[in-house]
Formats: sequence, C-alpha cells, structure tokens
Amino acid sequence: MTAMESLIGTQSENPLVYVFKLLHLRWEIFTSGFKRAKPLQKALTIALWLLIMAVIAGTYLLSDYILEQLNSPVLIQSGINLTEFIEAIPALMIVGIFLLTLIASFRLLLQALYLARDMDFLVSAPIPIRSVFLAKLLEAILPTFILVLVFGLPVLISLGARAGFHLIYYPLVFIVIACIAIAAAGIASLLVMAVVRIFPAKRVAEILTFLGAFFIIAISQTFNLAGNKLESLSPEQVLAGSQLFSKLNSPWVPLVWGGRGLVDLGQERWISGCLFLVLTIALSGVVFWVALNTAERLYYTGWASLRVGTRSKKNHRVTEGRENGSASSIIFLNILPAEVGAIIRKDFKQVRRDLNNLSQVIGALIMGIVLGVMLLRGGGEPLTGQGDAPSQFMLILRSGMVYGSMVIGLFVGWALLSRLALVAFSMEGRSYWILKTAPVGTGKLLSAKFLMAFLPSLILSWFYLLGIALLQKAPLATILYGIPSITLILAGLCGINLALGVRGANLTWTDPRKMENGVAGILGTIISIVYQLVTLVLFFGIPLGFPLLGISPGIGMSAGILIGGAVALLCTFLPLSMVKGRVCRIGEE
Amino acid sequence: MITNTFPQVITANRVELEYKQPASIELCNLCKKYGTKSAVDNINLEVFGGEVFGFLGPNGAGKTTTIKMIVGLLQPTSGTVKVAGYDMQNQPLKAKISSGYVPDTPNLYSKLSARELLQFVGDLYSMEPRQINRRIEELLRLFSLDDVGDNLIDTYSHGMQQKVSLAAALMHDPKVLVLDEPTVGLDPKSARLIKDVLRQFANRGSAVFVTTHILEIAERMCDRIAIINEGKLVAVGTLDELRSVKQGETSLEDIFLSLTGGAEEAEIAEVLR
Repeated sequence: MTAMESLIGTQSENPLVYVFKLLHLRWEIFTSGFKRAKPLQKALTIALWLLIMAVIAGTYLLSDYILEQLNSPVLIQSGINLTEFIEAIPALMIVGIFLLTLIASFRLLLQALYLARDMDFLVSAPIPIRSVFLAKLLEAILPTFILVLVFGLPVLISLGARAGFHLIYYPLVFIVIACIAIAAAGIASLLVMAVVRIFPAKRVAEILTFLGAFFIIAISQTFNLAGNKLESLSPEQVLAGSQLFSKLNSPWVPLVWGGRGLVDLGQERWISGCLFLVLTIALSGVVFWVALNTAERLYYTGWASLRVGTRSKKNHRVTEGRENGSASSIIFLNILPAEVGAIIRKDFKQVRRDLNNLSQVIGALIMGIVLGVMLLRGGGEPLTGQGDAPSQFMLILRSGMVYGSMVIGLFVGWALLSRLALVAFSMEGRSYWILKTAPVGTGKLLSAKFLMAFLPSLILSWFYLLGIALLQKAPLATILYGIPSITLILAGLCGINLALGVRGANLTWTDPRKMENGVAGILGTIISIVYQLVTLVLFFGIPLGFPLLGISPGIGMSAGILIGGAVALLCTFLPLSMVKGRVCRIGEE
Repeated sequence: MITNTFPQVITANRVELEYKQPASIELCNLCKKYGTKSAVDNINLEVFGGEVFGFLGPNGAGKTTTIKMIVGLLQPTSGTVKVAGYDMQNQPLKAKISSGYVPDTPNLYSKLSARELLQFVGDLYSMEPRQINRRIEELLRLFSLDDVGDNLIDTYSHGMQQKVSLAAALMHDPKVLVLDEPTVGLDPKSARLIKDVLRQFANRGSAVFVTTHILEIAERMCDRIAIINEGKLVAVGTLDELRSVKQGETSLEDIFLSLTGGAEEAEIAEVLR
C-alpha cells in the first residue's frame, strides 16, 4: 500500500473541518507574524488593540450621553416623536451595517478570491470547494465584523440599556449583526465575480482604492463645510429630518426587519419580534446559501475566473508623443540632462496612469478646491476703509491678510508635495532595478525625484497664490515677495520629505500610500509642520514686524528673504546630502 | 563560434585563468555575507568578450547574488567586480554603461508601453534621440513586439515582458550582457529566439554571462561553464575540460550532480521508491 493509497479514505467529508483548517492557517500566519515582528511593531499592535477597547468604551459612553440628551425638554417640546425616533435607530443601524459589510467585503473578497493567488492551489487541493469558499467568505467578513462590533455594538447595547429593554435583546443583537454580515458578504461575493467578469481584478482594485480615497476626502471636507450649517437648523428642519428618519423604518423594507425584531423583543412584543427576527435569520441564511452555491458554480465553471491581471479584451494603446515621449511638449524637461528629464517624464506617466498613485494627487487637489471655495465664501474680499486706525496699521493688517491667504496656497502645495516626495522612491517598486543598473548618478536621480515632487506642488501653490492675490487686490510688492518666499519654503519641504522618503523607501510595498502611515510619514508631517512654522515666521513675520518697530517694510522683506531663504535652502540641501549615500543602497536590505 | 581554448586549473575554490585579452567581467575575491551566512564566498572569475559564459548552481547556491553584484544591484561585502575594465564600486557609471541586465523576473514599469520603456532606457543611457528611435524600431521588430509596442506593459504575457526586458538590456548595445534565467517561462519559439540573439551578440565580440537551470541550454549554448555550490565556485571550464576533470561523467547533468548534489539525488530516489 503506497503512501497515497493510505491517505485515500482518511479524508473527512465534513466541509467545516477544512474551513476550520483554513481559518486556523490564517490565524497561524497572523500569530507567526506577531511573534517575528520587531518589538516596536509588537508594541504598536498591542496599543492598537487597547485603542480598539477604548473606542468601544468611548462609543458606549458617547451614545449613552447622546441618548440621554434626546430626552431633553427642548427636544420634547419641538414636536419630535422620540419613541418612534429611538425605535428607528436599531433598524437603521442594521441597514448601515449591511451596507458597510457589503462594501468592505467586496474589497476583501476581491483580494481573497482574485488577488491573493492562492485559489488555484486551494481548489486543486483535496479540499471541498465549499470549504474554500466558506473560509474565504469568513475571512472577508471577520475584519468588517470586528469594525461593526467596535462601533455598532456599543451603540445598540447602550440604546437597550437606556430604553430598559428585556435581557434577551442583548445576545440577539450579536446574532442579528452576524446574520446581516454573512448575507452582505454572500451578495458581495457574487458582485465581485460579476464585476471581475467584465473588468480585470487588478484594475477593479485600483479603481476602488481611488474611489475610496476620493470619497473619504470629499466627505470629510463636505462635513467641514456643512459643520456650521448644522448649528443654524430651524426646529422645523429638525422635525422634518426626524420624521424622514422614522419613515425609513418601514416594515416593508426587509433590511429593517432585524432592527424592528430586536426592538419588539426588547419591549416584550413577542409575536411581532419573533416574526421579524425569524424572517431576518431565514432570509440571511437563504441569501448566503444561494450566494455561496452560485459563487462556487460560477468560479468552478470558469465563468468568473477568467481574468486576474489588468489585461483587457481591448488593449490600452498609448499613442501620445510617439517620437519623443508624451511629455516632450514640456520644453523645460528638454533643457535638463536626458536622464533627469526621462525619469521625470516616466514618473509623470506612472502617477497619471496608476490610479493608486493618482489618488494621492487627487486628495491634495480636492483640499485645494475646498480651501479655495472657503476663501471665496468667507475671506475673499479685500479690506476697505480704515476707520480710526492709523494708515500704517491698516497697511500691516492688509499685508497680514494677504500673507495669511498665501499660507493656504503653501498648505495646498505641501499636501501634494508630501505625497509625491515621500513615495518618490517607493513608487519605483520592484522596477527600481532599471534605475539602479543604469548609469545614472545619485545626484541626477535625486534631482529628478526632487523636481518631480517640487514642480507640480510649486505650480499648484503659485496658482493659488496668484488667484488669492488678485481676489484680495494685494499690492504688487507683496505678490512679488510672496512668490519667491513660497517657492523657497516649498523647496525646503521637498528636501525634507524626499530625504525621509529615501530613508523609509520600501520597494516591496504594493500600495505606496502605506508609507504615509509609517514612521517616515509621521516624522515627515511633524518635521514639516515645525519647519513651516519657523520659515513662515522668518519670511512673513519679519516684514510684518519691522514696520511696527518703525523700520521700512522694504528692509523687512529683504531681511525676511535673506534669513528665511538661508534656512529654506539649508533644509533643501542638508537632508538630501545626509541620505545621498543611502540612495544607491535602496533595495539591498 | 569561439574556437579559443581556455586553459585553466580547476580547484575547489580558486580558478586561475591564463588568458591574453582583458576580461569583460572580472570577479576578484568576491564575497557577500548576510549576517554570518556567506551567500557568495571568495569567488574569482573572468569572462571574456566573444564568449557565452554559463553560471550554474543549485537553488540558493549564490547565482543571483553574484549576478546582482556584477550589475551593481548589491554591494559586495568584500572583493571587487570589474565590468569592461571598470570597477563597479569606484566607477559605477562607466561600468554600468558597459553592461546590460535581464533579471529573472521581468519587473518592468507596468504603466508604460514597451516603446516608452525603451525610450526611457535610451534616455537613461544618454543615447541620441535619433539613435533611440532607430534602435526601438529594430528591437521591437526583432522580438515581434512592433504590433503591441504601444500597449501598456501590464497587458503583456510573461514571455512578452521577458522579451521587453531583453530589448531594454540590448538598447544601448552593451559590451557585457548579464542574464538571470532568461528562458524561464518562455515558449520554445521565444526561448530559441533569445538563445539565437545571445549567440549572435557574443559572436560580435561581446560577453554574455547567463545563469540557467536548464543544463541542456548550458551544454549547447555556453562556451564555458562555471558551477557554484553553497556560495563557492567548484568548477570552471569548457565542457570538455569539465569532462576531463570529472572522469567517467559524460553529460553536464552528471558533472553538475556529482559536484553539487549527488547524495541528495540518491536520497530523493529513495524517498520516491
């Protein structure tokens, strides 16, 4: 009897055994990674878990406080039906959990089914295909489930405690959330397969990353803008909002059944509660079961496993600038050494064509647009008249306002620059060997990367600076002083961030944005803020302060540009000279 | 074909070459250590213009580490690498301009087209624009990539990417070509094309340094062969010279196994029995 023959017949028929084995493997990979991690990484992981615990406690206390405020006399007098409103909260939270799980599972399943590249190995192994899919779905659900438990569970628990719900409410909250999560993940698996059938998986992942970054920034900025509007809502508007909120909790919407069931059982309305709850659990089970079977079939028949790469039926043809490269129209690049120009052109194309990189740039541009809109709405008008103030004081105030607005231009440039400079080397990825084996000196390589980060940021800053200056009818001398000042400050920022990008370069990262969250990114932000504060005082504080001491503004500007310029130039070149030796060692660790 | 003989003495860790023309690649006491582990241990080697030099060894023997030090991707712990007479440590730009490199995995800029990548490489090597355009057309035609030259590289198959990688290495017509497993993952037609290109390249007087696991390719294509095992050079010579040293062994496979893993081979057979 051969070894293989002896194995046949000993295999378990129960798919759950293999699901457990596959999940256990994931757990082993996680624990092994933790054991092998550096002490700092271990400490950060433990700190992260402690933070999660703190967030759970904080969410509980915060939601408890908010619920307490709902009973305030002001709200009661406003005519809002608070009972309806509070009863609608669990239902709408369950809807939110469903949507969140659906979106998050889509991204995770795309990774697990198509980008992890272990499906061929798993499907060809003597494991029931159902076990593979179950394990993959559970892997996709777990991270979202933890997220939901961190933010959703404390709210629902505190609501139950504040409303004095029956004890059965609490374990059922957990069960309903779990049911909703598996149903959402099941639907997400089908959606992933349908989308990947049409678009390559890698492209879908790029687009998701891009959209994710875009929406996070857009939503956060929109909330910023809308923040002050909320304070001025009329009681009628609040009432209308609460009514809409309650209307969404309609019994005809299956997604709210879980929430309604929880509330009914909590309030001891047993029949309706059980009905809604059973319907929710049964519907979730059916959705999950159908999705699982369909997904298996689609994958196994090859319908949904056709393309993984970014290859598409219609190849993306690049026809721009065939003779001299696409960016040859930028004459400036042609006066640079050929190697420097070539690297800049190449980087421009990479940033533009790779959505992962493009999302970096878009973030800064959105921030710029939002700040621009804020400026137009609020402080765009120039100061008129002078009242009883001395003319000298008004002149300083006007200049101060213009300088203040210029700082916005600087921040917009910094937002773009920090992204481009920090990832300048990491974005080379595994292709860095091309540059490293080419006869390009370290100086030229650093120059190319510097210009690639500096020039777009500078153009963006200048654009803002000139726009603001025109809007505020700034004096010509102030504009002429502001342009070189901002240029020099940005150059220093670029030197600092590029040097940190060299120190923290990691060519194995698939997503260069991770660098922003790493040590280099955090250090870069801290150092950049300190540097900007110092240089802003030197460049703009001196010209504003000198007239107060009776010294002419011209002398103040000269002193500002000399002292500030010296500091900025020092920060441009010193950090880069410190890391110059490291450039040729990148990728050797 | 190369008709010169390469008289030398094969020892366990030292190869003494007696050759008249200056070497295109010269490794002198080359070592690379990772912590206490020696990946490459005191290698001495010379490769001459006009020859295809095969560098063989089992997995983890130190082939790729050696190659990475030759092309300037890794800094040696000690010893020197000279390419076309230039020291890779002290004159890296001159050494690099003389060499072309094809890695084992063609990691190229996926968001560039083949034409853009070759343009980029031409610029990096400071070639004249007219020369770049002419060379791009020649190489795309040679590797049958002219129809897809404007498509993004991430739409290419592995074989096409390997061809682009070789085209990029040939772009500046280097004196030394270094290739790490160039035929892996290629169909027979593409593999044959690459072998022919390398042969022609060597016939024009350039040096080709190639690693491969396919001993048949090494046997047919290489003028001289070096075998590395556990970071140490265990043999260098023409196939005939290797045969004469390992008396009784007639094929390169036998010679290779006896020098690197004969015992393991017997062990594997025992396990499979």
